[in-house]
Amino acid sequence: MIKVIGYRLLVVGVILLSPIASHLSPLLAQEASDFEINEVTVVQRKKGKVKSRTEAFDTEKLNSDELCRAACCNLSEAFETNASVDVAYSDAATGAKQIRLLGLSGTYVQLLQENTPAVRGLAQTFGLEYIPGSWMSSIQVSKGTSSVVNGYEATSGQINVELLRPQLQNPLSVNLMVNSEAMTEANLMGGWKIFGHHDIHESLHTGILAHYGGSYMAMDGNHDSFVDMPKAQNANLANRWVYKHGDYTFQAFLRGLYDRRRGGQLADSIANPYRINLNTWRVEGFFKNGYVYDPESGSSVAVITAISYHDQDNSYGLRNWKANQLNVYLNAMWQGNFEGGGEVDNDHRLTTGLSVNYDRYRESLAISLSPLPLDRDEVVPGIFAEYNLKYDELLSLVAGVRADYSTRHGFFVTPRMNIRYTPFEWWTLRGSVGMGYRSPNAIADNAFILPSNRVLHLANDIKQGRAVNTGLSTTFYIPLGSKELQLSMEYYYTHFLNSLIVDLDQDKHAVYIYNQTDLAGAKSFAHSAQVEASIEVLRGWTWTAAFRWTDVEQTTIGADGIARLRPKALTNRFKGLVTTSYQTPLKKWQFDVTAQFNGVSRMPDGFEQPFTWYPQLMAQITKYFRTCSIYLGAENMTNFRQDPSIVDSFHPWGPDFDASMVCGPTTGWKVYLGFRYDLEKPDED
Amino acid sequence: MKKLIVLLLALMPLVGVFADKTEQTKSAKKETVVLSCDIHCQGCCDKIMKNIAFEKGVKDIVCDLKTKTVTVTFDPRKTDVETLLKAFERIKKPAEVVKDK
Repeated sequence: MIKVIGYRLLVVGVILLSPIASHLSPLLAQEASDFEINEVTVVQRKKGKVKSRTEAFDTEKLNSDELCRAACCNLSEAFETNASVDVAYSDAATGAKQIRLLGLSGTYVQLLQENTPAVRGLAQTFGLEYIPGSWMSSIQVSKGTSSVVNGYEATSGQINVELLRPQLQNPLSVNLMVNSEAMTEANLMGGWKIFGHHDIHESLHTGILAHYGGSYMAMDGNHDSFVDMPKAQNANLANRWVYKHGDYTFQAFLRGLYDRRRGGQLADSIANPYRINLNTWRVEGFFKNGYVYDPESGSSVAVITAISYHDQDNSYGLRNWKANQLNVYLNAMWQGNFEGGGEVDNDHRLTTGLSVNYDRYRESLAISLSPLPLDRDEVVPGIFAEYNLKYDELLSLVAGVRADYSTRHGFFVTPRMNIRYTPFEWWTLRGSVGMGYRSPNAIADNAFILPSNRVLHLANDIKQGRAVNTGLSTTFYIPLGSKELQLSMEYYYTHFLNSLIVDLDQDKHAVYIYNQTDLAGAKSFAHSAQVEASIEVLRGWTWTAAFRWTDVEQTTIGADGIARLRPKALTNRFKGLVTTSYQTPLKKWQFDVTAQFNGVSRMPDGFEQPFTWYPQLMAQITKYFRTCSIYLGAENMTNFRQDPSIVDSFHPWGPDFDASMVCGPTTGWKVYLGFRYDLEKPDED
Repeated sequence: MKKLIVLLLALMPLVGVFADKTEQTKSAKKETVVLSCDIHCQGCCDKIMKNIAFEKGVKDIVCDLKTKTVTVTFDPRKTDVETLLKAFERIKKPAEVVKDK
């Protein structure tokens, strides 16, 4: 008999899996997540994707086993085996990728790195590729409104990436990969103890994370005169420190990166080729101080600061987009845990604090000789409080509110509530409702329109995006003999009170970017419904099948000049996914196959629908050895690609040229080969 | 291309069935021992799986966190319980025999 949910999970879960715990005590948080993984106490095959049964948030955790099921060069490729998150090329010329959750673009997803701001602002364009896959230890995907502790920006959900931690990682790990397009990458990671021991109360650990990726071949597989993927070089280096003294913890993370891309037309036979040159420098760091002043209850205080400076100089033909962003973030919080009386196990937690976020943008977009200044500054101080109740195994509730003042948009309040009810061990119900706000970045959020000759019409006064998100989900854990079928169903609705509308319909030679509220009676909303089933049919052999339907609509002005509500352009209306994985009993071999079915996207007025849906097939074989593994895989095995993916590619200086009309894969099949090596961490005496 | 997709998807069940059949035909050449071991988390099990799996003659390992036992199936012609216990010792997870099956 397999015991489901260890008792200890419930005991430690209340204290350790809180927002503040991950900041304060990464080691304990990791141990807690180990327990979370142990939903089944008899370990045969560790689950790569775990949906928490006890948390109020609708969260699934992708651990390293799940991330190793595909090439996963960086965060943008971490979701290939995931039904909830879509990642697609946002244009056909730069290699930039866009994430989607609940059918909404990545700008509405709060992307965090260890609960500090990560992919936001200018980093939105290529930021998913700035987090190398080998650096990640896990990813948490939360759908719907999430905790107010991390801010007000999450509208459709939150994705938090946990990186390797020096006190847990191996002294040396290597990951090398090459693919059939001559893209190579090398990752080198290591974590070491400087002094101390876990039995005494003081220790200092440090870790290095290094990444270099290069793509050196300019290929034009579809003969449209443009390279399929830009030649690119990406160097990324991080150093982190963790100091513990009794119940005090200090963490520091510092990172620098350089990203260079060269794309556009192949110059061999063209007199005046269209060039794309993208250069980015970025430095960032976060510092966390935490003190557990009452270890028994876990009551604690924490101060988190993060700072980043992002500088980019991008040119697309004659368009030059120069920008830099300075971001400073501070979050100070207190958390009290209280055990309720009575016979039933009930715990109460209150987290409260204040935060300040500062963004300084110096940005200009030069189109021909007339630069468009986009400089702006925004300071947002705010206060928040969040109450968390856990009542036995029956109920969890998180109710939070925050009040913020933006120097650009004024005062606003963010209420959010999440609830989980488990009437039976085999049935869980969740509900959520809350608001999300965001200061749009007109160009960075929509950089996909830059490799085109569309004339840009940008509203003078860009207002804050505001939305209400509501969701319901249910999960059944159905016993089938000694196995368990996990069946989840969910529905989310996002209603925008204001959003930045990117109108590609009015004129095929122009793009109009304006506030939803500028257009009388304009609406914008998104429905998303998903059903997902997963089971381990035989030992080590898992299947997951999922289907999602999305209806994202907004009002735009059509080519006929009439404003009407219509499906959002270039947004898939459904996604089907079947993924299976077999691991031999001793984990010496692993086989993974994932098939996806995506479609249908509405094309903007003036463009024909190139196809109604498209398939994607990926497979990978991994051979494990005691200290290393070799993996061989293929992507887009159906070789389906949108062709032509660039409109009028042979006349890039003409009015029709447009590389932004992308609704499917822009590159063909790919084969990759990789090698991982781990020098195992020695046991501490 | 459609044929390739169907073929690949069909291969996965075959992999599972093949693995199951192989296990049945070889069962006559296997012995199983249940070892008591100080395991308390997923990390301990991962360590055991990563190391003991590559010991000569080991055919299967099941790690039970609740009872703190590790069930090892092995080919007696290639290894024995004593060798396995030494392998556990080497990874600093000393184990004791609970029972032989």
